[in-house]
Amino acid sequence: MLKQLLTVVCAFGLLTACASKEQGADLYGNGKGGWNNDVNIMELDATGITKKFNKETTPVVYFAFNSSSLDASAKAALKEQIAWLKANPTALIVIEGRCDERGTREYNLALGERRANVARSYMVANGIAADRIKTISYGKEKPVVSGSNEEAWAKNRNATTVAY
Amino acid sequence: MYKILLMIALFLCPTWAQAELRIDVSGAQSEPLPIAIPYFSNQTLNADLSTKITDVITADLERSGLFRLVNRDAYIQNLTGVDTRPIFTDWQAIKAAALVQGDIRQMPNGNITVSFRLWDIFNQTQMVAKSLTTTEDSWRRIAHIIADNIYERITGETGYFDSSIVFISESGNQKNRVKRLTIMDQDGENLRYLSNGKSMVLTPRFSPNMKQITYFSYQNGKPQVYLMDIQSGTSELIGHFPGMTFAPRFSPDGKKLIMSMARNGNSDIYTYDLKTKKQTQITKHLAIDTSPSFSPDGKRIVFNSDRGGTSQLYTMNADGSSVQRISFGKGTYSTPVWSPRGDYIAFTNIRDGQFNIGIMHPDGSAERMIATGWLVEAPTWAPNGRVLMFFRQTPSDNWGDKGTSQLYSIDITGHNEQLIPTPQDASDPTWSPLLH
Repeated sequence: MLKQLLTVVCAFGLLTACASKEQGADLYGNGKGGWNNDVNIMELDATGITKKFNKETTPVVYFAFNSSSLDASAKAALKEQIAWLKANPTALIVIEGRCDERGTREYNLALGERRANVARSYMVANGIAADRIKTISYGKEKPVVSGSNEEAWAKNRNATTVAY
Repeated sequence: MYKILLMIALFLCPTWAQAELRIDVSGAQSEPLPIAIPYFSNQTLNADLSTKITDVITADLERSGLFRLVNRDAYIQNLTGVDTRPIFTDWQAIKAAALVQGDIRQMPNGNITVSFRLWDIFNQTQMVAKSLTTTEDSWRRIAHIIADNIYERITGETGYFDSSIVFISESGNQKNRVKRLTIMDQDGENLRYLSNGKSMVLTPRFSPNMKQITYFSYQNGKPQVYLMDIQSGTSELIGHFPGMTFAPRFSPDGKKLIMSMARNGNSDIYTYDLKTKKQTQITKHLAIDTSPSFSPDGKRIVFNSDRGGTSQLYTMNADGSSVQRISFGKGTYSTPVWSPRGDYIAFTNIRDGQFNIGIMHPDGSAERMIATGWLVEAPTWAPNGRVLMFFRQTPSDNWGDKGTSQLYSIDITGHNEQLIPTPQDASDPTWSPLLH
């Protein structure tokens, strides 16, 4: 999914010159790059592989507050994911690390990265090739569940595997 | 708010009046100093200019919590220009301790010149007299510089009104926040967006010369630290780091960036030399080491690390040696920022389900919490090291709406908390150095 998404973003990026120049578009948007022309970028739906993975495994593992330890249910979920990856050897994955909103931004970026990598290390230790796995941290910036309560926070402390 | 020693007493006891007008900002809260600021006389073609300039000066001084405008309706003497001699008894009669008089003139080339005098009413002495010239559209800067002059002359501290804030404008649902780099004057005026919100940006920091901003962004799909030239609006990726880079700040001399790099679940602190493009690893520990901030002399670094089990504050030499833990209070500590004066470190503390903004000396002593809330985070120092800005969030509802995020300033005494108005929600403020 990520790869396809990036392809789409890049394609639009070419139309509008260079993606890194989008900064400052409002202020200095009168140049030749066509910055005033809005490009409507839509996220693609999950690909077949992503959907299949999400249907056939438990794609999300959860963590306790301020923790990156895998408990029994997290390990069980990762074992399902590992078995699936072994059965689908061409699939690649991105593991997204997330935190609840009860920490500071910078620390949570680090904690999200650590959570994603705990899941990654567990997979590598159980026979998945390291080069099939990418990680990204969203810290507390992209919660998957709305709300400012314990229930939402528990769901937002996670490592989510996206297959593509 | 800051303590004001003298002036009230001066009214009551004329025999003390040989002491110069002075506000001591180091102590506890006291009554603000009554100051008279009649509208400057205006000899320009722009009829609004006097109201605009005088109002900005007045607002700066009043927002500091140290000054109170004496109601203009009460003024007895009508000052017709900067060279009209004040009739001191007229100003004493309305209990003004200080008086600012000024005029605005248009130069042949269209520029404006604003001249002003600050008077100590009881001693009948002039404290400052200056004239400032600039283009007409830069009238706000003149007003802020005049306010800084008045603040500096009466408090003995450096001012902070002629300065900018870079921050993140936020809008939209909790699950899909739009975040844009934004810059404005310290009073919330002159707001300009520096990014269009299509990629998420966080933690912008000014370079010491105010020409650049370093920030964290997911632009190009990978979370990394970038450097933007404010004038041109172009940005470049910093370094060739194999992992996520984040939490950037400039060194005090502007030659280096300091930041964290996360790789394989471990975050360490690195510096990046902007000229040689050399990256140097400063910490090497299995823990999360992040949010680094240099001391103003560049010799020490404060950062937070969970090497002791929870996130706490540590200092170390600029080369990573001599690491010392400095936070020992309840809860966790993060986002330390060294004061530009060197005397304090501001931080975020989380304890008992509440967030606090606090300060402590660099050796960890004299810890004091000065602001609290459901979520307060990211303190940043005013150029004079006597005022902090931070952001405060309120909880979202179960649909991810209704939560707010706003900027506040507060004196390090813990008094005079002020909302900084922004058109959208706001977070991650960084205060610039003084512009003049």
